[in-house]
Amino acid sequence: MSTSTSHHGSELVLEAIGKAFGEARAVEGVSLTVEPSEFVTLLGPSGSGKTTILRMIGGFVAPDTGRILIDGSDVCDVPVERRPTAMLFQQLSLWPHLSVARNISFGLELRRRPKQEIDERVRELLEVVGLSDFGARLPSQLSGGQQQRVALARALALEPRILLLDEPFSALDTKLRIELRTFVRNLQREVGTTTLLVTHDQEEALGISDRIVVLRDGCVEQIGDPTEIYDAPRTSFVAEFLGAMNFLRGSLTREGVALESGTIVPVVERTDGTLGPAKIGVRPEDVIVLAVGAEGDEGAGGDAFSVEQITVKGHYKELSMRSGDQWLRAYVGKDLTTHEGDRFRLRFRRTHLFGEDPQEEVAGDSVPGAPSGDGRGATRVAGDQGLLPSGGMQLR
Amino acid sequence: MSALASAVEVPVARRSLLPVALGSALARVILFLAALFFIVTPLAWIVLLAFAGGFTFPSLKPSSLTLAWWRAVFTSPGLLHSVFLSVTIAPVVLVVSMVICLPAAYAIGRYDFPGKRFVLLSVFSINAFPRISLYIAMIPMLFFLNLMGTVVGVVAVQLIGTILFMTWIPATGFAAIPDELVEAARDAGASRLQVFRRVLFPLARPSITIAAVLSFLAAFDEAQGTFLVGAPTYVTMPIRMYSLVLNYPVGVSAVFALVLSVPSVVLLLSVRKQLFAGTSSAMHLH
Repeated sequence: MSTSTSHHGSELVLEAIGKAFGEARAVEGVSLTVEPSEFVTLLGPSGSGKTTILRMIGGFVAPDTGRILIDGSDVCDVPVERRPTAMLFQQLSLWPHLSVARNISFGLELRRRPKQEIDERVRELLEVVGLSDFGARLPSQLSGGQQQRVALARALALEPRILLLDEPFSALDTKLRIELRTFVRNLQREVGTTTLLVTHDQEEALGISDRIVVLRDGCVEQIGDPTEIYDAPRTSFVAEFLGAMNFLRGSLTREGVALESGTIVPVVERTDGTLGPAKIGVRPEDVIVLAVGAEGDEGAGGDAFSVEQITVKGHYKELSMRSGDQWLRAYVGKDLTTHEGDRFRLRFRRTHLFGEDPQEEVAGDSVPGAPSGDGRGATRVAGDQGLLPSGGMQLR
Repeated sequence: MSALASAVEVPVARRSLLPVALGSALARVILFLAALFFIVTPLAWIVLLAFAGGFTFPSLKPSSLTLAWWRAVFTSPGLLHSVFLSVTIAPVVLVVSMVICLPAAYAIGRYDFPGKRFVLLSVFSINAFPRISLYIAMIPMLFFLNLMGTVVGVVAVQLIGTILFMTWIPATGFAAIPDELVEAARDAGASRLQVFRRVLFPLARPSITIAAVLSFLAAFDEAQGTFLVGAPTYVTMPIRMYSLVLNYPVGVSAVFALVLSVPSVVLLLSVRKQLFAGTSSAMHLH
């Protein structure tokens, strides 16, 4: 990419911003600092307020409370057309009556830049998005993916200090979606524009973000880098939203967590002493299955789970297993020969302890109400250091 | 019905496919010819009448050809004045209508405001009653404002027939434009006015064009109200038609009818290309 496309991103600070639409509180006291050139994803289900936050940054919605600072200056009173932000919309939003080139040059024309400069810039941007020969076409003559690339070029034309992506890939089919988001990520790395992406697609968030902000009901649930969010979810909501998670009900005792089956999962990091109902989370890939009667099976002990359903997923198999009314999913290698009805004892490579109420954090090393994004996860439970827990899980 | 019966029916349906296709093609040809007959015959009839020296019923062609009717029309000062009035007043009405109605259409199409339903209903109600009663109700007002027998009065009365077209059609055109297109323009640095000029207006133009054509024809064709307000000073072509039909040889009416349709034909031909471009670009929105 040529140097004229490269510029540095700005710092973006959200200070306790909030927004209500009538009675509905869309966003409540969200604070976030995005470093220059950082790629941050706002992840959450629909209604979690992520798009409202993005639209407040872009200037389409005014926050009721809080401040939005770009490079230290409050932009809340700056109208959309004068904000140093550019938005890439979810819907295809090219102007249908203008050619691809005119779509890209629109903002430059408004700024009365010299024609030669505009032409040069359009040519350069078309090259960047790989559509050099398409300048004269109308948007309707392009595929969805091509249109979204033109929209990206249009957004970059004015060299925004902050790029806002509002689920821009969701209307595309899977292959194109992955292709385009990789493209956007690489481009962002090169150009260095501070970027915020809104998505409900956890795979997308994990794949391209420097950091992820998990939102729920207008509040920040957790902030962290993808590994941190995946490996150390602070709440069961985060755990379930990013990746698959089995939840095993139990009760927190002095010895550890007693599951309903009677199994005791020892807690490595001691809790603050609150005992009572608890939830243990185990990712399906952290479940180790040991055939009943096989070597090592005795060490696992406890109730055996029977295989109820086998789904071949390609490079792995998903087993739906059951013991009593406790269901559990396990990912196993595709070479493991197993049949429905087979019985296995289980070991867990890594477990997570959550509070009973999914809205609340677990009693543990993270203090409720403490600033999120501090990198400390939910209380970890035995066995996350090694591949195989050595008696990490105690079965009756 | 048993399964057997339905099993028997299927091949019957299959066999009839070909005749059905043939039949529908035939029906289409018949429909086309019928349409052609009903549209072209009256026109051809009028053209023949306009040039016919003598044309009596059982004969299917004129006994002689003449330009006498054309001469009569174009040498009669009264008739020429009517032509002049019609081709000048209708465009004025169109412009005034656009100035008044397009901002309303924009507001109705793009914004929610209190009383929007009432505005729409009242615009629609103009066309819900016989027009003549509306004119009768207007006349005292026009007397009071000293507008009876004036061009302004005629323009005002002709405006009524254009309001519905000029408000509803562009309003739906404006409403059909996705918000993202407007937001993207704001995002790229366009002020509200620039958004209107560069995005909303061009995208709504096909609907505005259609509304303009219909409004022009409505104004051009309006006779009742214009007669009540403008006669005897302002006698436009449609009003003149009444007396022509009653008092002149049929050839003169035929010539006048042809002259009356010239502006409409010219108008439709001139916007045809734009309407076509418009429909396709409007379709691209969705």
